[in-house]
Amino acid sequence: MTDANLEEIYESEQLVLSDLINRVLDKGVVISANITISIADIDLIQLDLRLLISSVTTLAKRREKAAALGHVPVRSHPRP
Amino acid sequence: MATYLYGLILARNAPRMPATLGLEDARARVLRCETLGAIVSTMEEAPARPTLDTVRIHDAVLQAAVDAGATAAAVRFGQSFAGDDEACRHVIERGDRIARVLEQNDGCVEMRLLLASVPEDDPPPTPEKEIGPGRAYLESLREEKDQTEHLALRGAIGPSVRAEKVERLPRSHGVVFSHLVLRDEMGEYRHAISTLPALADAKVVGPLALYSFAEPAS
Repeated sequence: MTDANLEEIYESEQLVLSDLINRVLDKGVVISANITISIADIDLIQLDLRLLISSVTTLAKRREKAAALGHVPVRSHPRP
Repeated sequence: MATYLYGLILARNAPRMPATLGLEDARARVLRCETLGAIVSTMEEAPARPTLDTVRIHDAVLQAAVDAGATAAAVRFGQSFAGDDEACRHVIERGDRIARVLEQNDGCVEMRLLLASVPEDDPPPTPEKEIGPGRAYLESLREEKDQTEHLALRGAIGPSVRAEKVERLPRSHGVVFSHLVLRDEMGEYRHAISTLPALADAKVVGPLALYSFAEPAS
């Protein structure tokens, strides 16, 4: 899998998950007057989402490079 | 304890709802509230704020209803009540319009076409002066609306699209086309999309509960 393929997968996954977040948090019926979801909450989830997808993409690239060099994949350190 | 609300279906479709788990692994069930069925589960405490996991679970409960053949109106995340009676009371008080939407669109699902980006005709206007965050948010909504008014796919896809709404995804360049489609015409809808070269890179999501079409058209 090339970097271009991974980039496409990343973009596609981000789009789908962004849509999920947007429709669940910002669409649909409002019955209760006590919704406490704020725009900041949506931004926080978007941030979590980007970190999640970035870490998966980075891990996939590292494993591919290790495989191409004939190395045993090393467990990556978690992002701070 | 709280009764958390995921979505609304017509009460006559309540038997379709399969066994499924909601937030805090509580069993999702259907409360009969006159003509509507409220998809709920009981929680220790209402979610203080959303996370990716809780958003996924909320969506998954609605998806279970859709996959079982029911048309469901999604309820926005984060709505809970002091108990089943309180939940039903609110649904009954405010549910007439939703009942009408579900009756009119019984047998329909929402499909969403996601495009990573579309050309923008004009660059966004430069703000003339500093404005507060609330006003900035409202201005961004207005700009997003202005930037999507010229976009439409309904004519190109054909009569399987009963209604269409277009919006830009916040904080990205993506565009979402929401389509109201009869479940029985899903094949026709997907085939029409597959014949359009402009949609070769579009991500098709669905069938879903009604999110953009959950409320009556204004």
